[in-house]
Amino acid sequence: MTTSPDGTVVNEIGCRATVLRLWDYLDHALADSQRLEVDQHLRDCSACAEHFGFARAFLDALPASWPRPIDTEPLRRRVVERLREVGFSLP
Amino acid sequence: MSAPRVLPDAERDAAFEREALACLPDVARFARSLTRDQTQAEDLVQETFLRAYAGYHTFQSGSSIRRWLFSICHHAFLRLAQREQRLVLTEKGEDAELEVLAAVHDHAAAHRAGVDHFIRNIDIGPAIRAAIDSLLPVYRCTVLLVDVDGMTYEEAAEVLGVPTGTVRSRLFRARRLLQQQLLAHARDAGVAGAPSSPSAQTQP
Repeated sequence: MTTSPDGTVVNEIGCRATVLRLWDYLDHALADSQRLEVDQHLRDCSACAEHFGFARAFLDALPASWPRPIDTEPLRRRVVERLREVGFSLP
Repeated sequence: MSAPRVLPDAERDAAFEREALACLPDVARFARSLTRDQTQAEDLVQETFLRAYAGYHTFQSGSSIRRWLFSICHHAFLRLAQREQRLVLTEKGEDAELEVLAAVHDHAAAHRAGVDHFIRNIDIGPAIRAAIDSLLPVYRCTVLLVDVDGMTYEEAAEVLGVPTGTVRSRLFRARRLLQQQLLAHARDAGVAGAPSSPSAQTQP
């Protein structure tokens, strides 16, 4: 047991338990108590903190890499034209 | 969740334009990620909106129309791909715990080789896109929904029609595969030699 900066009592976990929560932690998919355990471990363990830092940088790079479609207006016109054939009508 | 809407035709069509067609750029992007081909993606978008229009009365008002459209798009893609017998639905090794340990192991090795810093230092957008394109469809669309589009595991599971645990394991495997490709890309590009602190050299 240890205490987090805000005074909450937190279970101590090891490196293996911490890295097993790597993606769930970064995806905000952990329960609060589990997240606090990871936070506490990362404060004390530079090796795990390095892994988490790399994984976070990797996740940050993914959406930035993916371009949005440049111009979908021609496709929209095609879709609307096809929809009109089955009864769709715009005011 | 509220009941399906019954609207007069004109009102229904106006709502369809306002709500569904407004999502066309997002659906187009998702379709492109599934097919990796512009022409096929446009055909898939058209098919998606035709099916959505035909089933619009079943859409639950108050839920996410974007996810509903993504789900229709994904199902249309599955039908198309299964017809062409080019879809691998599952793959061995979908174990979330093993995948996350392997990802950390790969990072530790890359750190020792001094190539892991590249992810923060150079434009890796093209390399990431190539790596995502090389994934099997089941992994590619999971990465796109969660990591690019920002959906939760539960939302992606709803779109893909699979359990949340399946999304999680597929996602973890996809991320490991992507990291492996990016680290290989860094080695091929000669990104090495950065001083690596001993910290991440400890194996979990």
